[in-house]
Amino acid sequence: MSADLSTTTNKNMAIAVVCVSLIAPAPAVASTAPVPAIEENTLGREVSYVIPESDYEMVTDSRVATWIKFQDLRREWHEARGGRSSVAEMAMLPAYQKIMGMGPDVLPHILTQLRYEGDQPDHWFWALAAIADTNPVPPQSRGKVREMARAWLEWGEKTGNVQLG
Amino acid sequence: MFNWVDWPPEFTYSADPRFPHEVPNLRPHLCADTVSEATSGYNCIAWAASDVENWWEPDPFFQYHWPDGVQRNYSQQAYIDAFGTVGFEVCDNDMPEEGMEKIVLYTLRGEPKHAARRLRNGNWTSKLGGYEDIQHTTLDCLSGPLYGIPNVYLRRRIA
Repeated sequence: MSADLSTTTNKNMAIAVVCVSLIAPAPAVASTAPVPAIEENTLGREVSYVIPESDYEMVTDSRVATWIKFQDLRREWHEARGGRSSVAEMAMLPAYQKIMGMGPDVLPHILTQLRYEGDQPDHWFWALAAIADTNPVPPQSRGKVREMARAWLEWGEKTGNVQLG
Repeated sequence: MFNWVDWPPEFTYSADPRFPHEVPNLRPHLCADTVSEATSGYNCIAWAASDVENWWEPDPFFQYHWPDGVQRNYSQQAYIDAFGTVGFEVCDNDMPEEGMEKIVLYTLRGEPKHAARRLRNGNWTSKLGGYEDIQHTTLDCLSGPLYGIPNVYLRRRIA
């Protein structure tokens, strides 16, 4: 049995995540039943996203799906990196590589995460530099992670990738 | 089997079951104290150099701190040279010497993975990646697949 949660009840909710439509458990064989229509939204195209380690599939906005995928990989990376002392080693872990492989679409999400982390920013700088192909960190701020985060967030605001206000 | 009951409660990352497995030789009786809370603000290389303001890393994107004039790569010589900028020189051993501060560089397949600093009380102190920095009573307790083995000893005169 499938349940479409998107059609009416979520329509007016404020946050983007409510664009998600839970339509599974995903069938073992392809279903011939029509996929319920998804509410139009202004965020982007619809995509299908299978929730890791579950039987559920969501149809959602592409940006929401990117955010969810990024958060899954962020958790995976955090668990895998352990006590490594080198960002280079942390960046070589598969989850971090997958995040970088998501390309420019993930930039706003990394910056949002960085902003959320506040005074204890995580090491997103390698990914940001690799994806954005730039380095807004001034020489005097190198290694000072809070200043590095600030430089990247200011860059993000200037380029429209994140809102600081 | 690891005995959680014996793990010191002040070692705050003890709640994470992965850590002891990453450093299999580290045991509670070898971990004398926790010096700081977990932070990503500095790493073991900075901590060995007594710098808690910077994360030292010769990254290719020029985002992290690496001393000016030192080759920016992950070679053993680059790390020795980096410590040289704050007064350290290579020495023969980890034994205490009057008027000297000692650090040790752990390497794995020739690549630096970790650094520890000897304290006046005889213990060693290490920043464990993004985790806490701790005091430990031996160098070998951090040896393993994560950090390699203590390989290069350096010293500098204490003012």
